[in-house]
Amino acid sequence: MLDVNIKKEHMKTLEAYRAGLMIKPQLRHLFLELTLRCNEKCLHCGSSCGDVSSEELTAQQYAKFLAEVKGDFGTKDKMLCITGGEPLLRKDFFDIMAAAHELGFRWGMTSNATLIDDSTARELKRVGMGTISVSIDGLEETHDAFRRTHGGWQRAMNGIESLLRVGGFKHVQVTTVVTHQNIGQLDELYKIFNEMEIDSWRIINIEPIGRAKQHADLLLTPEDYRYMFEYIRNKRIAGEPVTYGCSHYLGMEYEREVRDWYYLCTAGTYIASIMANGDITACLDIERRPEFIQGNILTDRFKDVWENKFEIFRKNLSEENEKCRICAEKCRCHGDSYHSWDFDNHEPQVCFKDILF
Amino acid sequence: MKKTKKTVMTAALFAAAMNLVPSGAVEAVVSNDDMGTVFAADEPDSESVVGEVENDFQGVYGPPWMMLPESQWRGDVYEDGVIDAYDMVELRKKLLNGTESDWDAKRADVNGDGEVGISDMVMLQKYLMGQIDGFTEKAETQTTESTSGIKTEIVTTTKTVPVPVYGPPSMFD
Repeated sequence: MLDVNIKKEHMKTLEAYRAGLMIKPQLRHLFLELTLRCNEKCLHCGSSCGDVSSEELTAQQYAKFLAEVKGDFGTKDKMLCITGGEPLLRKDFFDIMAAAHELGFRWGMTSNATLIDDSTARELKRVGMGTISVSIDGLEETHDAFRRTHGGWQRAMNGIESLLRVGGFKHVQVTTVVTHQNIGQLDELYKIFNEMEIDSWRIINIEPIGRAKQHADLLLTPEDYRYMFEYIRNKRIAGEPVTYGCSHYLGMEYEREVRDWYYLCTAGTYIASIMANGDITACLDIERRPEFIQGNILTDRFKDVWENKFEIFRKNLSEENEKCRICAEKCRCHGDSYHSWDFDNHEPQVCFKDILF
Repeated sequence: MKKTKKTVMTAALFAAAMNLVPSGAVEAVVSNDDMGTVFAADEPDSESVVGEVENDFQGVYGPPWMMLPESQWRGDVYEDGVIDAYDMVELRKKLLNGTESDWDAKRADVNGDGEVGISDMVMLQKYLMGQIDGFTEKAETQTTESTSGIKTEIVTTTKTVPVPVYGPPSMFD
């Protein structure tokens, strides 16, 4: 374990910084949910995507919107995070991203990679894709069952190989959502990924959001969580590019040890998202309630919304219930991640107190 | 999976924290063939890496460098937590070969003009020679000539105001 006193000192600085960020947010990551359609039907999908109808903006509407964002915010230190559904299902995907690239935006994408071959990878490079994170959620049988897609694992692995073969991307990452069912496969997955020239492996836990709420058997037990974080830490001790995601306050034991930064939920302070239909919100993983829709890019100027609304995301959730209010860690966790907050009962659905700390 | 300088430094940090025999561990990792392009021949000996981790490189021990105030990492092109001649060597390489990432470019953008160019080398050199005491958005150099013909170069700077950069890096988190 790293030096606790140094960690405390840094977290204190971070607390003061966060307070400032709530008052003066800095747009850095703009998520674009290009579609809700997906060729897979994952059991854990936070957006309940799949074979569904999706209200979608046109390529022209995106081009106009992005030009407006560029005019209002510039493109320096801004990153477009392209997501879905499966973004590559859109026939005009390359038109949209070519426009973004021409405007000077950096962009990356989350994808299941099942639609990527060498030709598509070359096109992705042409339109300026910098980073991509591909989901591999277990060994072949587990992955296909979890994503309810026969042959999905092999197509995804082929997609990753195409990306690596074509090359020229800044970062090719694999993301694995750990469940109670696949946690025993981490070592086997590591052996597979270690043979590949990927840049990093992101390991995250299944979250009690979206479709996963109906599959309690997939959620991790306290022992699973401890195993997962210890696994990530051990890989980092060995110098491997393995990391946990941005979610959740992990306590003094694991903060800064399983990822390169301290916990800071930046939904609404660094992050804004445009839903498939143009609605503006903070983070796409946050429960889709009407009160979280801050506007729509077809009717509102995004800059006005970002600067004058979003109050609902810029507050301390930890003040909303007694348990959090009296918790000694509240100054570091602030009620934990916004996406896993229970807005009916006003409490975090994921809290690692008494599990990790 | 690709090992980078960052993953090696992270491993060295853990080794130091756990009181293992870090120098051997670090050397083993550094001597890995995959790391050949990361640690070039004209850079410091690998033996000194652990010492730097323990004594100097608090950026690794604490928040990652991109979470520290900008004043603590601008110009640290070599990414070892101190600004010295190694940064000049590294900056020269960046000028010749280009930067690998946006963060890479930010470190090398010594004068903060949004580009990595010869003016960054000039400013870094001035800093190393003690002619300026910090990196500013734009340092102005004024040359005056006395009646006796002696030229004097006056460099006007203002201290950089630290701008904390917290939060996850620009990936997908």
